[in-house]
Amino acid sequence: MTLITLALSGLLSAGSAEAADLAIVHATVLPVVGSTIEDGTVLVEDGRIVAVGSGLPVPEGTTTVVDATGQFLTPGLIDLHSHMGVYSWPGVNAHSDGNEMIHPITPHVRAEDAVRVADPAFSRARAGGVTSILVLPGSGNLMGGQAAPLKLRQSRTLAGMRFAAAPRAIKMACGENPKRVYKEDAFGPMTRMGNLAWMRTSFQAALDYRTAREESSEPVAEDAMMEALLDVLDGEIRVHVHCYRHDDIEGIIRVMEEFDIRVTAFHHALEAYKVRDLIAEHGAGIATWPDWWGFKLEAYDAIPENMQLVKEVGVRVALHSDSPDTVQRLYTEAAKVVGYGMSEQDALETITLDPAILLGVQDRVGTIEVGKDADLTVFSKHPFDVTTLVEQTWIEGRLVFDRSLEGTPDAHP
Amino acid sequence: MRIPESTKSWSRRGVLGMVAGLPLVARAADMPALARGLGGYISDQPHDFTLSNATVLDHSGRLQKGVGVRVESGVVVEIGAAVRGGTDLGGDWLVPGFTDGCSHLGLFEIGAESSTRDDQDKPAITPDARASDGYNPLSAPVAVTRMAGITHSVVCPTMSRLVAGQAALVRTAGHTLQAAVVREPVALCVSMGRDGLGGDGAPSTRIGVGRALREWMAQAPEPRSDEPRGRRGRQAPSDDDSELSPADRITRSLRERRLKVLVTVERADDIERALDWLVSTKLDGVLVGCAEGWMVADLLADAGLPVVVGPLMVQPDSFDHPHARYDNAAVLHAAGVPIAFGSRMNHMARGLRTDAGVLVAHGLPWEAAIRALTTGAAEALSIPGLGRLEPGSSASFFRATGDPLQPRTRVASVWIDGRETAMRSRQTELYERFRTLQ
Repeated sequence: MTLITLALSGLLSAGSAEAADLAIVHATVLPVVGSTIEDGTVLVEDGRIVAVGSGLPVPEGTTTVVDATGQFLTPGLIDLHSHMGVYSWPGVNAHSDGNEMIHPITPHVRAEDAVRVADPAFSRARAGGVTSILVLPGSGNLMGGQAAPLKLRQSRTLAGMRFAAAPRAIKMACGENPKRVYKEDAFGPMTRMGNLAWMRTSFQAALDYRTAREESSEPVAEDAMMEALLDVLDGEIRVHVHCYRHDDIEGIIRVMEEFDIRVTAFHHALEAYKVRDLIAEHGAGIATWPDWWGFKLEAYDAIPENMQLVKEVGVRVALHSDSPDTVQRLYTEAAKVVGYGMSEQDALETITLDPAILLGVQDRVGTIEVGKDADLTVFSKHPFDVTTLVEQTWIEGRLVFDRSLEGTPDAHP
Repeated sequence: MRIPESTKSWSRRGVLGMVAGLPLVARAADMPALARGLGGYISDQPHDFTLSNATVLDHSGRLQKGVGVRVESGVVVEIGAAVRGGTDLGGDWLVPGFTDGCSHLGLFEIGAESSTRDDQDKPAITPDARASDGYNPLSAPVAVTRMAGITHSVVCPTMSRLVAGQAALVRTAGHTLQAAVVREPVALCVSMGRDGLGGDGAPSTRIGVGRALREWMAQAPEPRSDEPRGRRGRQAPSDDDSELSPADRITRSLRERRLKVLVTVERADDIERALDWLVSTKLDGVLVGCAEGWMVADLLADAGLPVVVGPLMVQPDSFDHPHARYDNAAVLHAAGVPIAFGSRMNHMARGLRTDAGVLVAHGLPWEAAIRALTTGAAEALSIPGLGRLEPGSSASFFRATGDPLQPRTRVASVWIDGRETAMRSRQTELYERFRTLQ
């Protein structure tokens, strides 16, 4: 990789294209939409992609030209399920900020209030070509709180990492985790029956609260928890539900449809393949691992063809990491899915376009197209070759990782 | 659940491997065959067969294209272009079976369900605990692991004990312990650093670990007389083992270097402590983990100890290995440290081959990764005959659609000791059940 910085000449000849901020040239471009572009050029201006094509001329005066001969260019990768920041490295008790387990219903707490901006895992994720993530609270609570959509910009501040264009999102959970964590003090659900009953009760309480606020002669104080639930009921917050077992998925659909709520994505969803028709009908997607299984009973029926079977019926499938480790190798995880039978195009979509759609930002990221954010990843080889490495990661036209300068980042300040 | 038309047809399927579900009624005489099918073998006995037009990989990473392999009575008798006929593999690869150098395979069915966990004993120091006492050859992860090309696994009790117990070498097929367990003990498992702080009477700090290990050794029986470590002039203990407890017998065989000790250790200073402890006690050690081994690669090379690296993707996510790096294995290999790979997993052991591929991306020579996966563990633990695909070797190998380190490559068939095994697991049965929705 050679990085050539050209001085701004300021001498644009009449009729020539306007100088760009960044040109990546001679790359094999995998744009995700449309076919592979050989000898591809991507031009970037003001953080957006302004041109994509084979052998495009680089406008005179372009600030930075990256020669990616022999290399592959993909959209920046997207991880729809991350706990980076809320369970920061190094893993110690003091960094356990992802589960506000004082009550099973905490829709008003916000992951962004807990994100440790200095989590060294962020730099490792950038070195894995990841540019956007959804940071979720944990799954101890039925409603664990609001998620934080982030761009992995190099930033000292949380504000500097926000993915402002992303709609709000909330993390909910069902199955084993929420019924387990409150078992000791018998406050909260102890069974799957309790899980769904608590959810129904909570949504009904929010509707009653609204009625009281609107109709009661006595003033009813504003309640942040109820307001958050109303935002969910009004469709202003996307619903992401941690849900493994197929009958749990069915049960969540049952409860949500009672309240006219649409689930955006079932997360983990290891038994989604058994009810893929129900998920398609409801209009949800899934976010899952290729082949994790067996760590608990609701993960015992996982099969590695899950992603493929679910995607085949038209459901959006995001390959998620749920891990500061595998987030660094989403592309290798996607290659495993190809080994399990999925097409390469579909597998590429699971780490780019599909998570973008489920995050609600497909007009900004997830493909290499004119008008989209210049979130780009340069690979030394095809991303599904296990010996590939991410050479550069760009976010909005800024270089956020360059292997030639730093190698794989370590966990130091 | 499909019910076969007759028990006769079922019985034939049983020998060839289960199809789906169990028959409502099976003749008693058919039951052993049915049970053997559960163990994964398609054929009852090793048989003679020929595979041709293959790309044959050996443990050193050498590739021979367009050759055939002839197997007789479970042993590879010939490899070469002259071997023709039999099954045409169309250029697919034949790869020596991989050995997971440290796993917890088959010791528990469900991670979070304690009622299914048989992976350790309660006390902190249990030299007489045996992995084979917890191993279930029909546990669902076994077939899943085999289908990833792992034909053998060094099964270790879970390492959250200072002295966790004895490791067993298993083959990943066979429905009985007799068929599955190849050898035990292959080593005694010890953990240093903060990995081994679990169990009754466990130390709670590194200071406690050092003290407890010294105390354990001090209480161990002396090696017998011909051993150079015996205190001068002291009479050797009797050769009669009956006076010793099972734990002491194991500990004495450690001190006599008749049994290796597998020491799990991650942080660089803990590796130093492990090396010091092994030198002072004169034990025959193999290290496991060594996430920060790259920092002390020269010490490890000087000590001449093999390292079972793993889990391969260990991260700098903890104060116990803040300097973990992707190129750890590459650095160790370059320094001359013999390496093997251990998943230290159960259900997820199947990721070993592709994780090894990631290490190649980070500088480990491809041939070194192949060697670590094939003969690495066997050489580290002095187990002859594993991981080779050459005339005279046991026919334990697998067919793959290409480079086995590549995730897009599929493992198509697995043979163990000359017997073909079924590409069938709990997972494939679920896939078949739900491939179409009814």
